[in-house]
Amino acid sequence: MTASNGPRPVSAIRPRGLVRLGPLTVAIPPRVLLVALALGAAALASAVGSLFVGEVSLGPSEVLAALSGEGPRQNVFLLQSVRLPRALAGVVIGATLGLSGAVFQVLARNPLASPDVVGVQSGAAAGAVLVILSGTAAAGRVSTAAMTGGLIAAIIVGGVSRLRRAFGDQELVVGIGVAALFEAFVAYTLVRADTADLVRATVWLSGSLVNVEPATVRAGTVAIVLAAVPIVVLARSLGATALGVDLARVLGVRVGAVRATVGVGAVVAAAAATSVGGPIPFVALAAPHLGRLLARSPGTSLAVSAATGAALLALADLIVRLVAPTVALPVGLLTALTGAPLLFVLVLRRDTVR
Amino acid sequence: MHGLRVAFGARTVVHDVDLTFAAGTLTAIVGPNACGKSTLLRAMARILRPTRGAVILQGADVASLSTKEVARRLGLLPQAPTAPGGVTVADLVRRGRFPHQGRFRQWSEQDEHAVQTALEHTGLGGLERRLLDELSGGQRQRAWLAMALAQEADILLLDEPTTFLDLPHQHEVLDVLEDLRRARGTTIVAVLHDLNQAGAYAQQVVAMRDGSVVAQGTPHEILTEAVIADVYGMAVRVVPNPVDGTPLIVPIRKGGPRWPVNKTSRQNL
Amino acid sequence: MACVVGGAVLLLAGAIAASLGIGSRAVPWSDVWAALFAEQPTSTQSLIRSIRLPRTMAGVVVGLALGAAGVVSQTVLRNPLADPGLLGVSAGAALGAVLGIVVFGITSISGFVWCAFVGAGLVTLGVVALGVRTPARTLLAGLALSTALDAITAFLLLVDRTTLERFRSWGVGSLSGRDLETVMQVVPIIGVGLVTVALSVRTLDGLALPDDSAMALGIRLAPARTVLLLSMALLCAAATALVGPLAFVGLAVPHIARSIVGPRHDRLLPAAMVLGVVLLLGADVIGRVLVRPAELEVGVMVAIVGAPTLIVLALRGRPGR
Repeated sequence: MTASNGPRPVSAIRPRGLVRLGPLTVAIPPRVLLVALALGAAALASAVGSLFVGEVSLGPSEVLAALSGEGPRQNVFLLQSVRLPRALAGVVIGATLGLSGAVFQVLARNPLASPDVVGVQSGAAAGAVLVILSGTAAAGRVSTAAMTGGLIAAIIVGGVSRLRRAFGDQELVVGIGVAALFEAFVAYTLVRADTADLVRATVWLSGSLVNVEPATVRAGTVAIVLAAVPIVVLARSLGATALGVDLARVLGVRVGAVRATVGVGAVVAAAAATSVGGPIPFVALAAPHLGRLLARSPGTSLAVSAATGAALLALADLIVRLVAPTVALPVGLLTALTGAPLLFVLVLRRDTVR
Repeated sequence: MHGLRVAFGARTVVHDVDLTFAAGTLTAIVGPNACGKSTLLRAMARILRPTRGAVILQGADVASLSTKEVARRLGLLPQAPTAPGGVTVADLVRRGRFPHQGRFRQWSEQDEHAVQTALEHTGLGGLERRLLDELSGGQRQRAWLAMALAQEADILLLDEPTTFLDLPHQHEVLDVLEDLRRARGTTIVAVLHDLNQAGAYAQQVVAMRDGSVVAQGTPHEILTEAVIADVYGMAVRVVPNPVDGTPLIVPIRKGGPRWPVNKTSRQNL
Repeated sequence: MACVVGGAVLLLAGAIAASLGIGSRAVPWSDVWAALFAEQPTSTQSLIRSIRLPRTMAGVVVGLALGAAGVVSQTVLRNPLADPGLLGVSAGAALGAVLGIVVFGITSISGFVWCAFVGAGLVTLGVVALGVRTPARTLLAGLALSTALDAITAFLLLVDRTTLERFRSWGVGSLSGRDLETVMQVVPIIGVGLVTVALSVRTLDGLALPDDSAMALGIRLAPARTVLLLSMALLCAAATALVGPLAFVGLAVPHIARSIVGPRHDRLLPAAMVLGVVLLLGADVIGRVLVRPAELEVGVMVAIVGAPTLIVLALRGRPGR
């Protein structure tokens, strides 16, 4: 045809970053892999680092001893029941919020989408505030109420959309409405709360890992892992839907089923994460963008977004512990204060933001 | 395809269509705008579920086949596809290999060969690293065609594949389809607006109007003055193409010499 | 069309009348009418003049502003989830109010208004100075900015409980307690914003199209977007300063209006402005009546009234196509 037909280098046709392992061949662009690994490492390093610092700083030998159940009793308690669950919660919640944020942005084809477009965080906030203001302090109760509230909100949004066969932007509008109702409930109760309850509720609403308990972390992690399975399995099919519904179907993707399954998984994961750490703001919304800008990839990569979320939250929690070890500073504030300037810089620097 | 009917809500767009497409032939679907051509194509590709009737693909009802199975046998080039931003040509064409890949086998020699061949066939050699957004309309259309070719399906459905292309490129695309049909025995169904192209390249022509098939047959049977007047409500002259003898349609301009039109078509005027 | 205009006028008049006439204390309509024009008002009449009139005025002004600002943000930023506070205006206003409490010890509402307005104004200037290139970039930059500002506000509130106490009544959004003088201070600002937006109706229609088509229609994208976003920020800043963050009005009202009059801006903009007023005043009145003699904050009521309306109307389909 018009262009020259000489032999061409095959590398241009191959996807970049082919990894062959026996019969397995997986394609991961090198920069995406690098960014995901680096962010994952940063998340882990922050989590490990946070084991050492806090109100009491401990040396490496003390930490190791306490982790294996030796040394002074208070050290063992501190590490096994306080610091380790909190460090784990930071990584798991961050990764979950990053993952579900990415899923919702792909599903809704909207850069402002997050699990809250189906009301998950607003519903969770309403549930938790209700329990906090009724005077129950137990983290387990608050967490259960938050999970329930988040799922109820999502079920209402999904149910209404399904019943009236909403599509596209209509679903987003239903989500806005339902979320607003739950937020109004929170605002209403907060104005009438007494100051002590108000402060506790405000801390929870800012998103905090301070009062995380081993039992809730364990339960939350199990729920999150179960919910993440369908997302990981269907990630490639979800990526193919970027070509539009018609082509995705012709390429063999069952679009409706994939979207519904992945969406439910992301809702459950986000509700579980919120039930453990409160409605930590910004991570779900920003992690996909930060990840995309760092990896310089055209599409949203679920893995990179999850790694970004984990790194953002774990790092923010480490900073909280370094800067203000004695104040119960909500980590949500720090994720915003570290993530927002970074996003700002990346957005202004790059020319190909879409 | 038997008694196919497709409806959106209460509005039936395609009525009781019965068509058969022989293996290794090119069928052109022609008809005025909004007559249900694209809807028919999308129903055949299992994108729309017919309200009645069935699409039989190599002896099996497509509704009973898995989505992936259909995808390996049937490719589609939609009318106005949209690509995600920042995608290169090679990126796009590679995506056509999706139905042939597994979760843990994301690339193989066959994939490489298929992508290479598709790029060569569409004359996109040397452009594979370019961003899709940087290409001209014609090049972009060929990149989408290459993606459909890389799918290596036995049946290829194309919705106006020659739109946006200049005259040489229009014929290059049709020649690619012709090669494909001859070399691989691919069955091709294309919506075409250019009746002369339909006459030159198709073995079967299907004429549609208002969601129904008005006539079907060889180009010489269908591309006649009577049928065209009936389908489009427009007076034309059909003469043998001086180059290869295929039907050549020449519109008669309004205000020029009028051609006698039959009764049915006058209602549509 | 005539019946839509008539309906709008009736709705607007009804909402204003209800806001003046209905409250925790029953007042005869003749007194309400007399209160507006009497030279020497009775005590009841002066009550209406000093409390219900400013409150109604605040609702009208803020409703108009947020309705218009919401249309602008959704069209210019091309996103149905974009509320006018997204560029950091609401967050800037809140931070301004909190700083006013913390730094200057301000307790009066009129003091809050100015602090909030200064905060919002600085943020707006910041966003515009950074440049408004593509809608996607503006969205993300605004998102980052408002998140950071909100975090600072939340931090200040957490370390200082007295401020949290004082701030929360402003933070939930309320029309009450603003005197007429304070309301009048923001009227010129909102007026400038509304006039600019009204003059740009056709530009808005163009900006809703793809960039190429908009340029082909003779719209210079960057200046047009900057002017519109600046007026949107102005409207939102003034409204937020006066009554607190009521982002939901700006988010919901354009969707409701679009489902009634369709996407053409010469209809959408007036409809959204009218509906903004009707929603705010209606919610405020219901909030006064529902738990008499106490009141529900308008910020809460707006969601309770507006959200179901939004859902029902949005799902009813899209006229004007």
